[in-house]
Amino acid sequence: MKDLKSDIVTKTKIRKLKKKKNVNFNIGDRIAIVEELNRQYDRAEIEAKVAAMTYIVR
Amino acid sequence: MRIAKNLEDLLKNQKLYPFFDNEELIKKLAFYIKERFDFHFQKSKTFIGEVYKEREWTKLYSLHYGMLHNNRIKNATLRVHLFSSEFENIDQFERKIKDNDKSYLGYITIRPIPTVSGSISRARLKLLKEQFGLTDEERNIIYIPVKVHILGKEFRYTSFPFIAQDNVVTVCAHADILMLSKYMFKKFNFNLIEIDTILDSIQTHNGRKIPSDGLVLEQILKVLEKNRYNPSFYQAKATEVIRYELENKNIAKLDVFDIIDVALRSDLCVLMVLSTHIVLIGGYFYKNNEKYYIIYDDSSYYIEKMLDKKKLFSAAIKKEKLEKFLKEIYDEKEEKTYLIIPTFDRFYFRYPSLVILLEVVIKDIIEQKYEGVDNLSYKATLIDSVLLKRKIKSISKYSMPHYVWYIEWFVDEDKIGFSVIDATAHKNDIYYSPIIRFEEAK
Repeated sequence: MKDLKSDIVTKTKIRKLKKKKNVNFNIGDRIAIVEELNRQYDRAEIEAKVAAMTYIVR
Repeated sequence: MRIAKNLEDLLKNQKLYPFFDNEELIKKLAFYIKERFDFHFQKSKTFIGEVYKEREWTKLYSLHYGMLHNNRIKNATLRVHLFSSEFENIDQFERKIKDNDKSYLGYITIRPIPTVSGSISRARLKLLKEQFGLTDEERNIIYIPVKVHILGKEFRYTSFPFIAQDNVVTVCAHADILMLSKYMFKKFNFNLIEIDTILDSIQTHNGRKIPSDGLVLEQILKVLEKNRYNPSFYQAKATEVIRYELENKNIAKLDVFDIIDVALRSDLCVLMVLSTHIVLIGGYFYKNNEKYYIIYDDSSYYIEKMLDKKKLFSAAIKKEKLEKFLKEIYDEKEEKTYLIIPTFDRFYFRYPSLVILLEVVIKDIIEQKYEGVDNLSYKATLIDSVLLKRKIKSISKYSMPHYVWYIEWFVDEDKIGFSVIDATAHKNDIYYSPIIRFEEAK
């Protein structure tokens, strides 16, 4: 076997899209949500780092 | 150099193995090795043994074993080459075996120490489809190219850089750092971490770094950080890393399997820690629509637990089985699962933040722009932008950073398009920094 990746067969079916006529999307109102969710993850990460200080792997 | 029909004969050779006269040790060691490398040893009919100055062993020797009173312990290992074809002597080998001969199955090295469980050092066994039962369905498996020379013949093949612990200087934590490092060094030219680098990078609690009592997770992260591996670190209760919520409404969730898949698609390997043991995840694949993960376990401890007492160094484990195992450990002992994934230098926009951007912003943009796309899902891959530009001509004209997120969008199982997102973006910047593109699939 020469290269494991070269013979990957990916059978992907393509679906064609139809555009909607009236698009009204305001990206600005999402900033506060993105910031809040990122803060949630920051808190989870700090919790993980604290746990890492005492967790022994052998 | 000796040619033999079985492993025991090589171990009984005075010039190759220092404990050649200890029959009980040889019997146990041969059984131990054959059991753990079952697939390759079952196929092997001829073995070539040679004295081999191995980089990993010479480090261990100079740090510890050379100082011991036991003067049988030498500074070289026994390297055993495996062949599925039969030949009796060097003449026959030269006549029958060609360069890159298909019958060559790779090699293992055996440390010259009188303990069974610490004896295996390296294994560079050929990755073969049949070993894990790979099919033509989607798969992402990590490997390195290997080049071996025997009696003037050259053998090139792909393998996983497996290293096992010696239980004295190194335990599973060191062995997994060494495996991860060897892979990243060969694949992406990262700094090569060796055992002395690990010892230099850590402080110890009892005044002695070796013999080792194990590494604290923070020490593993420190070793990787110091050597510019920029490790991403995740903690999960059973399988759930985080559930993003707003006003008690679930927005998205991050699962260990999502994180593992993204890493493997991006050619990064994953260290998984659970219940004081660490294993390396070296790939996933589908077989008959069922998902499997390839696990490298240098003490075979978890593989044995998951695969009904089969003591293997590597195995394909069904996703459901792995999931059940993580849940059982969490339910029984409240022990969490930890993932450590190395990342590239110029990469700042991490997967947890990407999920937020995709779920909160981009998914809605696509849903509002097109009809009938309300059941959207995505697959993210961190990719070198040069490779992506070569693959997709329509985006080759855009200026891009070194690494980008390539997101494939699906409705049910049909691909509808892709997005490219700047992997150097700031996590809260949704206006300027990310190159947010969506192109319809052609």
